[in-house]
Amino acid sequence: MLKRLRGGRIFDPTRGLEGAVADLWMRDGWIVDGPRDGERVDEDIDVSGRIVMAGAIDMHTHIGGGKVNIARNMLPEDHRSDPVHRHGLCRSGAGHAAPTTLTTGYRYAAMGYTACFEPAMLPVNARQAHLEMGDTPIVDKGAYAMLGSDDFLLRMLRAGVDQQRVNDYVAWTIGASQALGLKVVNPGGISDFKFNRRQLDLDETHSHYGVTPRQIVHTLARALHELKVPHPLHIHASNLGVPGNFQTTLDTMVGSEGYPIHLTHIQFHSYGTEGDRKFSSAAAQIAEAINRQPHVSADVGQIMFGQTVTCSGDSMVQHRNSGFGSPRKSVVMDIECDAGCGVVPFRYRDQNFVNALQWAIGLEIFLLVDDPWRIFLTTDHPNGAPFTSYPHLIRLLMDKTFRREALARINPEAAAMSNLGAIEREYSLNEIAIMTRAAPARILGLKDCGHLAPGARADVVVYRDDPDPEVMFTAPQFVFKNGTLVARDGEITAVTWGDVHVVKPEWDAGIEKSLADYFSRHLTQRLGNFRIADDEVRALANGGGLRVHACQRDGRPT
Amino acid sequence: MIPATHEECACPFCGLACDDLTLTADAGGITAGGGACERARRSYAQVGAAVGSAPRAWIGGQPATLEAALDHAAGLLGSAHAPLFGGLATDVLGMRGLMDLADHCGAVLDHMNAEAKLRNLRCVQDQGWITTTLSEVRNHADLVVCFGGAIVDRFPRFFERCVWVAEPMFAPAAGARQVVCIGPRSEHAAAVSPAGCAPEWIEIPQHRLAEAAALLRGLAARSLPAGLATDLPLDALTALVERLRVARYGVLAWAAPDLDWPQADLTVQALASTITTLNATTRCAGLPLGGSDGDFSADAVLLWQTGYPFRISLASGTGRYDPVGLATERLLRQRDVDLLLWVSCFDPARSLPAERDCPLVALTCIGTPVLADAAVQIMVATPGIDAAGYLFRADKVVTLPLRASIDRQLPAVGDLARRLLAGLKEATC
Repeated sequence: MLKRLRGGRIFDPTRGLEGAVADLWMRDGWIVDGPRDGERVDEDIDVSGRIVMAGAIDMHTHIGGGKVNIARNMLPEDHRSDPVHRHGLCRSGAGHAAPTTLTTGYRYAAMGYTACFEPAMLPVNARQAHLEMGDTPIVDKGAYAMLGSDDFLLRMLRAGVDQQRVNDYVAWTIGASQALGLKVVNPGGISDFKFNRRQLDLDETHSHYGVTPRQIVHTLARALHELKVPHPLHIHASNLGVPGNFQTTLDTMVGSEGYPIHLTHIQFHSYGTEGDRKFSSAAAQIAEAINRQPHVSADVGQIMFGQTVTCSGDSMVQHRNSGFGSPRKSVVMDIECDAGCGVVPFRYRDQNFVNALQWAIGLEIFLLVDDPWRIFLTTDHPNGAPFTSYPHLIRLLMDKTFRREALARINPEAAAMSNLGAIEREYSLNEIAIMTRAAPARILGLKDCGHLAPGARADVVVYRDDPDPEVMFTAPQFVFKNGTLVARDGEITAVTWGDVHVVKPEWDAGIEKSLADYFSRHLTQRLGNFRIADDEVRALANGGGLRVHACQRDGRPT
Repeated sequence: MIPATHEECACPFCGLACDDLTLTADAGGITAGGGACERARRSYAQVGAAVGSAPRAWIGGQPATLEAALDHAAGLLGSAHAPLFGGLATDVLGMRGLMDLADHCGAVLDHMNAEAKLRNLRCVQDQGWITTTLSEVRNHADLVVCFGGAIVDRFPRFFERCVWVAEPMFAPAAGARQVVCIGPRSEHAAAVSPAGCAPEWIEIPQHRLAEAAALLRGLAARSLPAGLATDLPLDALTALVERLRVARYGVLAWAAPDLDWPQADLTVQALASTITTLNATTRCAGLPLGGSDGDFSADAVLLWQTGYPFRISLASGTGRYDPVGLATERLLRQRDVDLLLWVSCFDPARSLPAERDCPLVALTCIGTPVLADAAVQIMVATPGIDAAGYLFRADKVVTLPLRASIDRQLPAVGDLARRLLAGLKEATC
């Protein structure tokens, strides 16, 4: 089956194409360079004047797993206020902040996203995450396994085992939970909360284990580097949301000692203590530090005004914030000597000083980080806002007049504290293509996604060029997933099932002996029932495949 | 048949989902060994018994082929205007299959344990809570309080696996661990430690546990009026709350089915508030035990696919959540539904709602009697015996794989649902 998209303006940053007019060919789900001799074109689509990009990739979105289902359980009001009826090819669903899995897949696809990555998969809860991702149609998916507050690792660090042993454990965890990467959340803090610790800074020692978050970050970042797992350690740093936390964030960047790291939802970690309210933007310092240190990348975790729900592995912080819930309710859990979680519904208000400044801080970071290959467009769905707000966010980045008008509407004190109004930068379409396609594919090690060169998966989006980027990015004209037209003008035209992306770093089998002993002595399930086999993931994926990416990293730590 | 042995199998018969069982399959069916509790042994023997050439499907109480039974069921479903999918004692994969069918039919969905689950659910939806999981209890808890007293009956190995543990990582060893039960006294042997240490009891009659929970909340918040007159053992409850205050990691466990009185959600709220208050200064967590009859598994799928827990109606083309109005017994009594599809894969003794006046399609496990008044009855595979599947455990965090350990040629619920859906779609084409 050969398809041609004829005469579109192609934005493919990986190949340096910034709107070059060209034909794009797809055969059997792949991008190809053209017809074979005498090959018939089965479908020829005129897209002249249209903008053509690879399918977008959301590298940090909470789409599956226990905490999202807790949010759904807590918030029937979220679903009542946003019902989705069964229509066409689509099942019914619901939800603005915590949408159902089916609705999530349809909405992402209709917006031109073809891959989404769950960033906080508790290894002990991995099966549920894969089950939910398996019920998320059309888009590809994958997950980062969470370590750093699990007792097995902390025991190893306390015992001073050598790095190789940690590497084996990290590799085993990624393999056993079928993950694409590794995340650490409030390193050590989730565990220490179980010992009644309420805050744990980078160089403070864990009450029971005596190790520091700095040690945990460094050890895990090094492990991933040595295992050649493409995606660097995905770090939800210590002290989320605490005024003055920017210093912890800066120290965390230095703390990896040159091993590549990715700082997630960095907006929540870029707060100063200036001004009468002792809450200020430290976006400039954070952006400057990112610009200066090539081993660091970040996604923003932009907040948008309105109702959402915060779902986090950071039980320590979520417990602290539980009084701010709107509506006023919260769930906090300690989980299986493995991790924790906290779910707090939240309403960001534009007239609230803190919320308004959070909004400005996120935008400042986007606009002050020079390199679009190292800053990623996220709202930390649903923590900063639901992913459906991305088109609006893109307009804020691309249109400074629109941005200044928005700035004029927020809490005036917050607006006065922000540098946002003075920033002239407007993102180009090419930069948007980098930060939502090429760069996430590169940082996750997805060789055949995020670009349109022959050999790539035919995940292709065709946009109508519209002066308003929000309109343009809300409902692309065509979305192809693996070459199949899955959405047209915001309507789902085919329901397919995406693949699951994983890496398989190697480990020494000796670690499994220690783990089997640890599981049977201390935990409440057997090791053999913990591990998820390849066949199992395939079965859960509703017909989607398992895509194993090579473990390779170029270069040395900087 | 050569006996086959399967190690480290997860048990589907209660929410603990103990996964250290050894199952032996032979011509007589499945036998559970290893650490299986009495209840598991009994359930495996009954539900896992060999079927031989006995009938597996019935139409109007008369033996029929599976194909004929399915055709008849599809016909009934196709002509039903307001079908109710009840029971729903199945696993994740069974529920996944049923959801496609329910969405297509616009069915009402209710679980046989929904009433008890609602006591916890209302607390989560109204105020939330702080909870923990089995391995945390096993390793962290220095004081375990069982509220309601019947936890051992419902979760036979809870004490063995989570409380009387030889070497917890952080908490005091078994002998020094404090266990307090609140409720009507029961002398269950499993609650006694291997060293003979019995739990302490604060004896309170079942019908006054709601008051006891309210007292705990008031004591934790130090908000009880001075000189409060009560004939409940206030001193013992006061001492307990003070012990929770100085405990490093207290755990307050309950099983919602035990709290069987009107508005018991307020009792759960009182327990949750007690815990929240204690967490201002120390650590304390709730352990709301459940997960039996696949209730957490079916609920989890319902949540991620529709956004709602039980009970919902898909009649309007999207989910309508009404946990009171959509109760099975009520709908049947009021004749608001015109077909009952009943799914019960785990417990053959579980009875159907008595009052019903509509066709019944029953998908039931081995051991279930033939239901003379069922329009269609089909014996189905039980996840963990002859169907692979997944079970959400009592803490809703761990999802255990259930393995097929014997092949009795029984259809899995998910597969039946898919065949029914295919039949319905064919009929409408």
